[in-house]
Order: sequence, then C-alpha cells, then structure tokens
Amino acid sequence: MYRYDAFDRELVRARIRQFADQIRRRLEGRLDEATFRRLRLLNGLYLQLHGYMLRVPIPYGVMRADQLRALAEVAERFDRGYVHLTTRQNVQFHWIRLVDVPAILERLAEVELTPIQACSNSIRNITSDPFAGIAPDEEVDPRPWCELLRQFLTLDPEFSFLPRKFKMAVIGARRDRAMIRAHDVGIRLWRQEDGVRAEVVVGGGLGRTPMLGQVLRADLPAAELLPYLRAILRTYNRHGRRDHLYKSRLKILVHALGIDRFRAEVEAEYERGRDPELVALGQAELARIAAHFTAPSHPLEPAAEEHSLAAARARDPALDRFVATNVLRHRQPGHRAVVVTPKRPGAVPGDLTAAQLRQLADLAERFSFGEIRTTHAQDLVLPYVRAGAVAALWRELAAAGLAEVNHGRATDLVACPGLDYCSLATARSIPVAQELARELARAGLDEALGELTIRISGCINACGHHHVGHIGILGLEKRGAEAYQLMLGGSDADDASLGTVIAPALARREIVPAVLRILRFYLARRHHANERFLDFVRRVGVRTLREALHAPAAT
Amino acid sequence: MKGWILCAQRLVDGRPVYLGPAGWSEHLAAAEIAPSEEACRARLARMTGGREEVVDPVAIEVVVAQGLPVPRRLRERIRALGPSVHPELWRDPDPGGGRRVPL
Repeated sequence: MYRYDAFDRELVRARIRQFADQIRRRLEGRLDEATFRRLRLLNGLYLQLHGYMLRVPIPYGVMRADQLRALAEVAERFDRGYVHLTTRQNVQFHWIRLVDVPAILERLAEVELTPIQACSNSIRNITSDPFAGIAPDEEVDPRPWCELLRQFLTLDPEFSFLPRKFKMAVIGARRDRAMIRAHDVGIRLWRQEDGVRAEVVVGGGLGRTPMLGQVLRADLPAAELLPYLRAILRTYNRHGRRDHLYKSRLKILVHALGIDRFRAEVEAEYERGRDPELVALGQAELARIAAHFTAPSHPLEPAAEEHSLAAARARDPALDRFVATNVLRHRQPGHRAVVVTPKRPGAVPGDLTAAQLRQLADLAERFSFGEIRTTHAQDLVLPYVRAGAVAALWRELAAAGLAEVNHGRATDLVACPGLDYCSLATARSIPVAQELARELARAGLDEALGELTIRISGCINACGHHHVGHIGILGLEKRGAEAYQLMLGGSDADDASLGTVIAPALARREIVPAVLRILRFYLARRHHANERFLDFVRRVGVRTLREALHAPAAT
Repeated sequence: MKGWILCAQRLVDGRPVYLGPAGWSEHLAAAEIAPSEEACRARLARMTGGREEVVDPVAIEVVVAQGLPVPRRLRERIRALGPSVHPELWRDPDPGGGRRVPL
C-alpha cells in the first residue's frame, strides 16, 4: 500500500492548519457563511439534516487496519458510534460538530487519511476495482496509476474550480468492477508488448441526466495519461457550462458537442500540450509509487491450502455456501479474497459500528496482512487470505455477525443515506432497503434469485446508483408524500446499461410488494435457473414486466 | 390549526434549532408559531441578536396539534426528530411535555 512521504504529510498538515484557521474565523464571525461554505466543501464537510457530515475518501478503496481503528475512534469520540460506507469508496460521519473538525482531521492525518477534494467542484476520490492487484483477470494493477493521478490532480490550482464535480475510475482487468462507464472519465488499462495501454471513456454519470460514457481514445500509451487527462480537464474548463447547475457536468458537454467534436477539442489541446518532461516525471513517480504495491503473499503450499479448504467445505455446508458466494479466486495460488457484506436483513446498508470496525481491523491483521478494501456496493474485501484459513476467518466473521452469505445477491442491496440524513433527498431509501431485505429473507428467495443487484436512491442525484441496478428504485416526493419510481434492466458491469422505468410513482406501501411481484414473475418465467434476472429482463422486455406488475392477479 | 415556524442549523454543531421567544432552541415545542411565512421572515428580520448563531434559517409550515407545531413535510419531521432508522438517536421535541411528533 502507498505510504505518505514527508511531502505528503506536510501537505495534509498545512491544509489542516489552514482549514482550522478558517473554522476559527467563521466561529468568531469574521467569515460569512457563503464564503465559509465554499471552504468547508473543499474539505469534505457538508451541512445535512442533523449536523455536519464529514466525507473521508478512501483512495481507490484500499485501507489499513490502523485506518479502520482511527475511523472507529472518530466514530466514538466525535460521532454517534458508527460510520457509513458510500458507493464511491468513501466513508462518511453524519453527526460531526464544526468545533471538533480540526481534532478529527488531525487524528485522520495520523493514519494518512484526508478529506481534501471529497466534495465541491473538484476531482473526487478516484475509484477502482476492489480486487485490484489480486484478480485473476487483471493485466495491470490500477492502484499505482490511481495514486499517481491522485497526486497529480490534488490541489492543482488549474483544476480546483472546475464547472462541476469530476469523478474518475480506473481499472486494469478485463471485467469492469468499478463501473467506469458511469464516470466523467473511466480508464481501462491493459498490457501490450510495448508497455501499458489505456482506453479512455468520457461523459458517463448518473444523477439527474444519466448517461453512459463513450470511448474517447481506444488505445493510448498509458505513459501519456497525465497530459491526456490534462487536455480533457482543460477542454472541460474551457467549454463546460458554469451558468447552469444542471448542465455543468462533463457528460452534458460531451453530449452537447458530440463525441467527435469533443474528441477533436481534446486531441488538439493534447497536441498543444505535448509535454515530454511531464511524461518522464509521471513515469518516474509511477515507479516510485509502484514500489509501495508489492503483492504480499503467505508462505504456503498451494495444494495443501486448496485441500484444506475443500475438506472444510465438505464438512460444513454453511461454510460451503459462504465460500461459494463470498469467496473469490485469487491470482496468487493458495490465496482467496473474502467479501464481507455487512447487510444482515434489516441492517442499514453501509453502516458499520465502531466495534465492527475494530473487529474487522483485527481480522485484517490476522488474515490479510492488515489490508481491507471498500467496494462501490458498500461491502468490504479482505484481499489476501490463505485458502486454508478461510474457514477460521469465516467462524470469526460469523461470531461478529459479519458472515452474511449474499455477495452479489438481491439482499446485498445498495442504498444512499436518503431523507433520513441527506438535505438533498426527497424520500427515504434506507427503510425501503431494510424492508426489502427482510421480505426477501422471509420468503427465502435470495439464493434462488442468484445474481441480482438492487440499487436505491433517495433523490435524482442517484448516490444509490439506481439507474444501473438490475432493479433500480428512486425515491421522490409527490404531493407531500414519499413515492418511488421502479426501473429495471440497468447494469454497472461490462454490459453497462441504464434501467427503464416500469412504474413512475408507487406509494411507500406499494414499492416492496411491487419488487417482490416482479421477482416472483421472473422465478416463474425464466428459461432455466441460470438465466440471470438481468438477462430475463432483456429477453422479455420491460413492457411484459410492466404488464406483469399491473396484472390484476399475482402471477 | 396551521402555522409557520423558523428552523435553522446551529453554526457550532449543525444541530437543527427552532426560533422561540427566548431565542433558538433544539426543541420543536419551543418554536414560536407565526400565522404566515411572511410573518416568520419578518420575525427573523427583526432579530437583534442570535442571528449569527445559526445558518440557513428557513420558514417551515406546521400543523399545530395539542399546541405542538408538527412540520407538514416528512423532511422537516425527520430533521426535528432524527433519522427514522435510528429511533435510539431521536431528539425529544417536547422535553417534560410528553407530546410526540409522528413520522
């Protein structure tokens, strides 16, 4: 994992001193709220329904045990005892007091965490594949590239006042596990004989105007990424709409210009900005950073590890189900990646208590070289587990209530904080998630449904990624009451697609039964047990499903 | 009976507060009920002190039940009480009075 050097430490400390001074001046009445609001957003601090919310990016989702413990400490000392995992590999505290922020930032800085560029019209946390560095289908480890881009794009004055926020994702595997087509810029790296290459996708994003990204450059020498990204950002800075909040994202610019004209603008800027020194500097920095990402491995005999795991699975059907669902193959022989889904039916998706954070820190140290990842599905990954130790880890997770068997299934659902916390929300999302998970568990449908994603957002800003869920639910306010839009057929994977609305405004009491009805229709009509829900929706079409939803009798 | 009250968030900690005769209070029951949104805003404009203690003051519509102003919008009821998914964290809108705000 990347560790701060003296420069990084001083940069973060200087920023804390600056922000602490700004907070002091605001409390003394020497800064007005409009001025202070811009400053606090640059430091990850929102004002939400019950207090200040502090967002802390986890760079490309990679965390250490000591960082988990620091988050637990902040949760207990300064919040209400828990953190919330977001859909962009960040964590959030929802009950922060302004006066405590400097102390919180100091504690986070001790473990190399900072909220710089967590909000505002800045380049946000660069997200990545939670299985980076360990996935068998990976060609290039994206983490050093993410870190290089993070450092290149942090606090650069030229990119500190973009027309709007800017989100990026980088992957290095054949499968897309970071939804690169739903980002302003998505990058897929691969390896060729002459070096690392990059496919650059632009203009994706969810929110008010959902769009999937389009290919800007199918094949770029990855060494050119810094000047090429700079050209994209300069083009966005020059042409992005600053006069209209809802038309200010890059996706709108790409749509308005058309991909060909946007590409011509970027390529012209790239040619003007050819910068061999920057390329050389980037490569030197990449080499320095990459040295932090050596793959740890347990000294082991792979065949013995595999035998041990197979024997344990044969002895215990519960472990067997857990392994089949939540344990993934690893590029290193004899190793596994273990997905922890802290989503027991009725749990709040994304919430982790301080006690759970500490338990996970302990388990990460004992089983996974102290490392743990966050995912955009509000789950966690222990990336370096000996196959022969999976059974012991599973027992520990079960004792902590963290061994839910549902990775990638319906009850592994995603929900934004919604109206329970967020000042932008128009309806609650968490209670819908809780009720849906309980009903699915009560009906025993999870296993039969197989691979299925449910994504719930509490407003059109789409933090719950409802457009790209196989089932998407959007909470709205209609005539003073909560209403829910139901959409089907979205995907955030290689076959990315946006869902289609089949019911524009169901009442709160109607939304969960409507989802269950659609799911039962699927179970009754699918060709075979291996036909995924998403494939079923694409085969039969939303018109059929709309009719099934509104048919007078249950099918 | 309908009415309007002023809600804001306390600068120092962001907690929702309501304007009453004695200034800003965390408790909904302490809110001063005005007959109209305009009257609420006029009350804010007349404030001589305490304005700097809060941010984002806004007039919200309420229905008065047993003398307690209950916000009409769910958003404001959640803001007054706390997240519906964590009742253990709820604020008491009427300490000592026992009146409740339904979600």
